[in-house]
This record gives sequence, C-alpha cells and structure tokens, in this order.
Amino acid sequence: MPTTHTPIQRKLMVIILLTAVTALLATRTGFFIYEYVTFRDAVRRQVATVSHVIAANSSAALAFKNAEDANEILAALRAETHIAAAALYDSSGALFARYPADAPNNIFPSAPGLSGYRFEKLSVVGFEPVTQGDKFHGTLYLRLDAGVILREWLRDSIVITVIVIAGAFILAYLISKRLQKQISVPILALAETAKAISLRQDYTVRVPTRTGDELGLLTDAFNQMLERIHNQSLALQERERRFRALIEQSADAIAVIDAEYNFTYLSPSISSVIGFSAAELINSHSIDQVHPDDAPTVRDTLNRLRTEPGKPFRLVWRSQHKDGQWLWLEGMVTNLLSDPAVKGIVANFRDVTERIRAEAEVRKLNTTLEQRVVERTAELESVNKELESFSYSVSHDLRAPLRHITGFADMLMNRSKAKLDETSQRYLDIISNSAKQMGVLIDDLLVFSRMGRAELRHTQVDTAALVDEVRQDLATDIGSRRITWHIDELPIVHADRAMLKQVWVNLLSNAVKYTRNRDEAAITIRCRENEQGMWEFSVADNGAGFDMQYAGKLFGVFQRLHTAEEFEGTGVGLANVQRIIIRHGGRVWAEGKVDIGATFYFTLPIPEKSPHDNTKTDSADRR
Amino acid sequence: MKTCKFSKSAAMVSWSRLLAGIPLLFLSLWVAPLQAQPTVATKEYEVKAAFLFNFARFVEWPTNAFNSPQAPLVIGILGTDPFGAALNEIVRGEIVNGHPLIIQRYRNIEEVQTCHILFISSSEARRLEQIFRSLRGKNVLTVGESDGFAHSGGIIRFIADQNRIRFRVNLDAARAAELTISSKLLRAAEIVKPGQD
Repeated sequence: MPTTHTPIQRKLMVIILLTAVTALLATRTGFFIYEYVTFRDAVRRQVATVSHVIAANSSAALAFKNAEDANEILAALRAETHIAAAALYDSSGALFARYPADAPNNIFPSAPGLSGYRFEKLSVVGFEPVTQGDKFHGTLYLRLDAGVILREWLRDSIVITVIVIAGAFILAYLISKRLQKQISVPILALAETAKAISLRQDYTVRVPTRTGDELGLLTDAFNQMLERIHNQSLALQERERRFRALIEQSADAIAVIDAEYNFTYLSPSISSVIGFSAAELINSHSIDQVHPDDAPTVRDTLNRLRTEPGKPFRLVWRSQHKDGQWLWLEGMVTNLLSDPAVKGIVANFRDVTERIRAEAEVRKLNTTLEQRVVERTAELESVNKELESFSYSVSHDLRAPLRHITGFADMLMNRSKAKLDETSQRYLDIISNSAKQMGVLIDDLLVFSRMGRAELRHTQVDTAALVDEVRQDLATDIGSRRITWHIDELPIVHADRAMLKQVWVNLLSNAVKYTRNRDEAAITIRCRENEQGMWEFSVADNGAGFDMQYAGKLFGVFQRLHTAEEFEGTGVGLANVQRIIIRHGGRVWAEGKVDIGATFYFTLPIPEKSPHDNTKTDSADRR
Repeated sequence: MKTCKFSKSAAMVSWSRLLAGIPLLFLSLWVAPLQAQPTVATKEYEVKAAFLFNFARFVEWPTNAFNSPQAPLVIGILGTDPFGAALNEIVRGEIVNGHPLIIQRYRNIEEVQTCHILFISSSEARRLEQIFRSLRGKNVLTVGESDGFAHSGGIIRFIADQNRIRFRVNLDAARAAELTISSKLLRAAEIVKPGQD
C-alpha cells in the first residue's frame, strides 16, 4: 500500500477501533458496576444463609448451655474459608462459643449488636438471633472477610475484561480492515484523480464509479463537476479566442495604459494606424506620442476620467506617424482601472486625418456660402424694393396720360360726334374703352402692390356684416339676375377689415360673374372649424367652374383660365386673395369642375377667445 | 426475631396468657397448701428447670396428645419437687406452639391424668418400674435424674458432668411414647445404648 494512502485508512481504522473499544469499555463498566452490586448482595445473602443455618443448629446448644456442642457447630465454618470469625452469645449476652476456637476475646464484639448483616470496610459483619420456636436463646455473630473474595472477583473481572476487549479489538481490527476499504478505496480514487488533475490540468479524466451510496454520489458529482469545468474552460477559451480576434482584427487600434499612463497593451492594428508596432511602444509613456499642442488637453482629459470610472470620454489628438507625418486620431477613452479584469485605462482610436481635413473644408465652404446667401438676399431685397417702387411709380405715372386719353377721347366724342362717321366713332369708342380697361388694370396692380406692403391693422371683424356689405356693393353687377344665396352663420374674426373685404369682394364677385350664364344661380357661403382649429370659409357656386388640372394657376398674378371675351378680369384678384390670406396666417385653395361650378376655400386662425356667440347672424336666405 | 409493634395476634396472645395465668394463680393458691411445699431451688435445679422447659420446645408430641390446639402443655412433677419456685418462674406466661405451659405436681402416679412432660423425682426411684408401666402407651416425656433412669425406660436423664449438666436420651423409649425429639437436642445429648446407664 503506498504510504501516501495510509492516513485516511489509518484514520478510519483508529475511529472504528476506538469506537468499538469505547463501546465495549462503557458496556463493561456498566456491567462491572452491576456485577459489583449483585456480588455484594450475593455475599451478604451467602453470609445470611450460613448464619441462618448455624443459628438454627445452635439453638439446642444454647438452650442447653452446651458450649462444646456450640463450638463444634461453629467449627463447621472451616468449610467456609472466608468466614473470619464467628461467635455465639447466650441469652444474657455473654460470649458463649467462638470460632476459631483459639481466637482471642478482643476480635469479637463485647456484646451482640442489632440483627442483620452489613458491609464494614472489606468485611461482612452481622448478628442473628438464635431462637427455638419463639424462644430467644442467644445471638450468633459472624464476620466474613470479603476482601479476598472481592479481590478475587476483581481480578477475574479485570482478566475477563482484558480478554474480551483484546478479542474484540482484534476482531474489530480484522473486520474493519476489510470493511474500511469500501470507504477508503473510492475516496483514495477520488484523491488520486484530483491530484492528477491538479498536476496535469487535464479535465478529461474521470473517476470510475463503484458504489451506489454517498461515495458513489460524490464520485458522480465530482465527475459532473469535471465535465462542467471542462466544458466551461472550452467555452472560455472559445470566447477568449473570439474576443481576441475581434480586438486584433479591428481596424481601430486598442491601447491599455496604466495609472502612470504607460502602455500595457496595444492591439496589433496599432501598426496600421501609426506605423509603430505594439512591441515598439509597449511600456513607453503614452503622452510622449501626443502632439505637444494637444498634450495638455489629453493629460487634462485623462486626469478628469480618473475621477469618473467607467464613463467613456471622447478625445481627439494628434500623433506622429512613424514616417514623420502628423495624424489626427480620435478615440473613446474609458477608465477601467478598478475593473479587475482590465486594471487599466482603455482607449480605442482610429485615424481621422482625412475626415478632419474634409470637415474643415466643409466648414470653410459653409461659412462662405452663408456669407454669399446673405449678400444675395440683400441684393435681391433691394432690387425687389426698387422694382416695386418703380412699378408703383410707373403705374401711378401711367394713370395721368391715361386720364388724358380717356378724357380727351370723351371730349372729342362729345364735340365732334356729328361730324364723325360711324367708323371713326367706333374707333374713338375703342380707344376710350381700351384706355379705361388699362386704368382698371393699373388700379388692380396698385392694389396688389399695396397689399404686399401695407401693414395689417387687426380688429374684430363681423364676417356676416362684411359679407352683407359686399353683397350690397355687388347689387349693380347682379342687376335683375336671380341668385339663390345660402349663407351659414358666420363668426367674428380677428383680421384687417379692409383687406378681408378685398377677399370677400373678389370671391363673391367671381361667383356672381361666373354664374352669369345660369338661369338659376346658386351661391353658398359656409363656415366651419376645421381639424387644425381654424375657421374654414368656403364660397361655392354653380357657375362655369374650371378644370382641376389648372387649379395651381388660379392664384398666380395675371393667370387666367378664361378669356377676357368670355369673362372680363385682370387676373390679379385671386392673387390678391392669396396674398392677403397668407399674410393673415391662413391658406387658400379651390375645387372645381368645368360647367358644374367652383368652390373656393380659405382659412383664418381663431383667436384665443373667439366671441363666436356674439356673431348671431341671421342665416335666412337673402336675396 | 422480635417484633416491636403490637399486632392484633400479639395482643391476643398476651390476653390469653393473662387469662391462663388467672386459674394458675388460683390453682397455686389452692393447691399449694395441699401439695408438697416448694422448697428453695439450688443453682443446679434452676438450670434443670430451664432445661425441663426447653425440652418442651425441642420435642414434638402427636396431635392427639392435646385435647385442642390451645390445650395447655402440662409439665408434671412426680414426687418431691426439687425446683422450688424456679420452674414456676421460668414457665410463667410461656406458650409453646400455642400451648400455654402449666405445672402440675403429683404425689403418686395415680394422680397423673393429662401430662406431657413428667419429671420423676429421685424420691420415686424405687417405683420407676411401676411408673413406667402405668405410663405405657401415653405420650409423656419422662425426665429423671436417678441412676439407670434412661436405661430402665425413662426417656431423658439429667447427668452431671464436671459441674455441667448434661442429659442422656433413650430413643427407644421416646419412640415408644410416640415423641419426636429434635436432632438439635440430640446433638446436645448423649444417646443411651442398651446396657448403658
């Protein structure tokens, strides 16, 4: 058996043997006490029996005062080797007979004591009355030397104990020697395997399972643990390989620096970034690689991130490439000094020189572009102003010659009507009318240009009243025509009243104008609060309508969908409408169908507190 | 074994002992003047009186020797009474196997009616043969001290041996009287062999 295996086996053996011997000793001690008690009792009983017999036999000797006989009876005690002394006292208490016959007086009590036997030191001593019938004749004294008996008994007892324990010890040794193998052998196998594993780091070793008990379970558990460790180490290796690959294949360079900012790790990609290999830089001071102008910033950031572990800091700096060229590097730096797996400050960074250069260019372009836009806008604005004032003054200045043309044409007509032939009169009419039409056009243009420039003067405008007013103004245009008006309840709005009137004038006059060819004209004015929280007004008619594909042109200046011959107009009205509504923060659009009719919509914002309730307008049809 | 407490039976015993004592008292008052006057006993006779009483304990009588289990055990003295008051004192109040002991004194054998132990005084030495004849078939333990007493048919004879009193027992006579003598008594006695005494 190898010496390294001895301890557990010996321990088991010692435990078993100690247990066996202790149990035996305990049992034996109990037994010993019991034996001692019963032994004492037996001795006492024996003495009592002997004394009974002697006492019974010696009654006659006492009764008839036959001392010889009495001595003879006592002499029979010779057979009982342990009886040390015996005596008979007569009824008066005088010593009558003794044993041994030659014993001196002083070994006997001078007078009989109480009857019964008791232990005195190592002797059993006692008295027994001698009677015949119920007649008291004397007393028997008996002393048994129990010391010898006790010694003999003790010796026997110890001998037996020693023999039994020695036998049990040998037997227990032989049995346990065989049986302890059931426990020690699997444990030793486990220990052997554990040693082999710790020496060789080989987790594929398995312990053979022999038993189905706890040791078997232990072995199984051990094997399972080995299995798991094996799997985990494989997984760990796999994962490490993966992460290493991730780091090493990464285009970003990864560096780890210690608390003194010296490099402790550099990923292989470092050489592709700054030309130096990892081996060239390891253990060097990281700040040495930074451009002197950037070093204070980098150092400052590093110092700052020391106080905020785990938080990534963005850092841009310059480093010199091995070929001497300065590179812009950008990276995230994180303090992982307190992370036991890293114990360093980790920076991953890349070359951003190209990007920085491009960015700088873009920034430069942007600033010049903005400058140019501002310049152009100012230019355009001044040109526009000039243009507007020019067109205003032109329009204004055009009116005087026109007034002359029409005025003198009229005067010529009045003065020479009789002298002129019909053709000349017709020409003169055409001149006069064209001049008038041109005047209207100029007026409209002036209005349009005013609309763009004039300031808005907001007031509470009662739309219903305004619409009524406009309808009054249109009375001459309508003349005797039959028009069915349908007008909703209309709200009070917050707007420039004069401009808003222009809107209504345009929309309603259009409706009236384009329903001219209808026998039964119908114009409907509606108002609702739309989904955007604005007033949405609409003016619908059953007039000439328009083709929806030209709807975009409706609101352009001088854009017309009908010829002047069909329907007169300058093409400025709807442009004005749009301009006014947009300036009020609203929107305008139209829907239509040729020969069916058109609907014009516009929206106006609803002021915070619209006094809608005060705008109770009669919604009855008006003609 | 002495009992310290007075059990019911012990009380009864003392009562019966007392009751038995009353007639005895009367008897002694009446009989005494008629009987031979008890003389003052010598030391020897005090011992012999004790022995006489002890015999009652070491000898068994057949049951028909008593009229009833409580019938008195009679110790008779035939002829001159050598015990004086000693025997009366020893016997007073004693009960053996339920039989109270009483003493009777006889002048001649004819007076002997019911008697269990009969001490035959030396005064009757010449009439022994006649006495034994008349006692034949009766369960009487005869005790004497004259020469040849045991040999001639008496059962126990006192003998003096170096200032000590011994006795000699005639087992044949005892057997004839249907008496059983305790072996313990026999240990302390000499056994009469034919031709001895």
